[in-house]
Amino acid sequence: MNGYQGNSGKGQGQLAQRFPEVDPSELTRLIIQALSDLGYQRSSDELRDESGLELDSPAINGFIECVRSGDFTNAELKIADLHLINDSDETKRHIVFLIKRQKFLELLYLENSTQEALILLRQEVHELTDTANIRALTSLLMNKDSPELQRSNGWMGDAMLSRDSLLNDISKFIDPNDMIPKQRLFQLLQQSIKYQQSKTLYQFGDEGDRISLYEDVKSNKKNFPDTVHYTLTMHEDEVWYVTFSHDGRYFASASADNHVLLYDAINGFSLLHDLSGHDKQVMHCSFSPDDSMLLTCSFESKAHLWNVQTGELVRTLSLGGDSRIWCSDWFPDGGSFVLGSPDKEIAIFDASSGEVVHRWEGPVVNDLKISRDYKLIAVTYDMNVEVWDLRTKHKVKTLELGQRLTSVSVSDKNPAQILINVSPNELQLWDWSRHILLAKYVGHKQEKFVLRSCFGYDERVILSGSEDGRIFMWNKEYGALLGVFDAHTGNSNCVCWNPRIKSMFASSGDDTIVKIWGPSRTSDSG
Amino acid sequence: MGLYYQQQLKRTKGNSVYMCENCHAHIFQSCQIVSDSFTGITGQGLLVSRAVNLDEGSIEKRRLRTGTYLVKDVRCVQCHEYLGWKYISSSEEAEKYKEQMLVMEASQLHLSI
Repeated sequence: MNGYQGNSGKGQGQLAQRFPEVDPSELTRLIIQALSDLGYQRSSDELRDESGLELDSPAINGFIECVRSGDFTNAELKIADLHLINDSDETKRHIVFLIKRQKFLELLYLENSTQEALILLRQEVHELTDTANIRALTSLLMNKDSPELQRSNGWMGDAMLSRDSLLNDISKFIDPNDMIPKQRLFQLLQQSIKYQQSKTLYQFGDEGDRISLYEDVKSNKKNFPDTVHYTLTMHEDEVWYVTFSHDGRYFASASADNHVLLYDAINGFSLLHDLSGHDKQVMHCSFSPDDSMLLTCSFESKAHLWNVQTGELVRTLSLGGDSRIWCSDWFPDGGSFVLGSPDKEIAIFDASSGEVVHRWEGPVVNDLKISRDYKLIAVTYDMNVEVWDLRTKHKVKTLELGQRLTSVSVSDKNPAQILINVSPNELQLWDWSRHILLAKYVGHKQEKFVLRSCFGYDERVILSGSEDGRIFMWNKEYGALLGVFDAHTGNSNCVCWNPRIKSMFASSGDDTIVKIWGPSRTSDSG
Repeated sequence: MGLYYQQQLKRTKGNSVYMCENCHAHIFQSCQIVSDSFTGITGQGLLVSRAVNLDEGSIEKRRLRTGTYLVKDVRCVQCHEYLGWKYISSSEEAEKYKEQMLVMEASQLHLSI
């Protein structure tokens, strides 16, 4: 298919033997392109001369020349000479549309002639495309200065940028042998790095660590948190829940000894407050978004709201009657919070007054979380994931998973991604909005108990406790096991990641102990 | 022992749920009550045909008012409070109907309506 055979360089035969997948003239053309991308135009031209190879086919060069110089009439004529991947009338019509759209944009922005642009739209563009594209261009006519509309319609601020962007759009329809996609060599190298990273799962280096093209990406366990930095032993019974505050300053642990302990996570995890007031086991706690309040849920069917600064009990909440309260979370704006009950109730409370502002009867709630885009995500005893929109209070999704779902976490980066502990012995990562199971994580043991898991290390890893007392860490994307740590005797009930310190997490166990984990370096830990 | 993944019983009109007094784990539905005139160790006992969220102890021989039985003590699976016993077998033909049933201590239970 390569019709512009050039002069073979010396030694190409040997190279072709060693790298049969790499076509020497393809590579040479990529180098010509890369040299030009790098700004070495003279060397690029020199190599073009020496090899006799062209970056793009003559037909394409003519076409590009027309588009670059704004000769759209001739550009349209030259479409017939292009080798298209899909040589259908529809594709050609779409390319004509893209060119005419550029003409329309230039009339609108360079010649300031709304009238002519409108005529072009009515007489020529109209018949080439669907109503959605026409509507988009019409709204641009009315909102000429909207940057979003400009971008979505292909106007990049000036003629040359827009023409290049047009060429880039059109290049997707053209045989790549005729027109090499933009910055192709760089794309290939980036893919190669990504691939190496996926094969070398331990990417626990510092943010600024250099990746060199001279060598393969190596595994880096510099910040791999496999070492206990602090052991907190002040609870007298099993510890069922641990969490860091959003700003990473505080750390809370909730225990079957009825106490919640609040620690200074910045200064060596010294105890700040012993929050005592619950009469029964405490199973859940959550910091308000501004970290001024801590909400705790206990077996006595009450939730307590504490002042984090002073350690004082601000308010006691209940759902009325005997309704148990097993989980809670805050609205992202901190103005309200939600309590969830296995007695088929979910209630929204106003955070300042403590009054119930909305309540609905629902399924038996095992656990719930609120995403940063105001979705309430609950896992239920009916083995479903239920999602409500907190603005409309309407249910927007039900996923029937058909297995026991003990706890749920929601991603901060992509609020549609949820991580669920599925009993027996599985974690599942779902995109609830697209109804897709993204990954499963296995190896840990969870048969009888409620265990909790979390995202960690910039959401690149998944962490969970296990009924054998160990902690399991997986690569989130590939599901590969990265580490198994002996942590507790009895269950490792709960794990949580420090939202501010990338390589720190905490675990809690039946052995009444809380452990804070970090990298194995001792000199500059913490 | 951890936070147990508890079974949840359906509460309907006319069918209430008895929970562990201490931790509110569901134990049985009122429709499972066979008799409310039994005597437990702590006072009134309820004979029930089926219950959930229980840990069973080891089998022991016990002499009760109506004869000798093999029984297992049962505790709440979550908080391990003593809740009553389960009949495994009876030496008396007339008492065989109790086998696999449980006597639950009313004082250890909380009725949720």
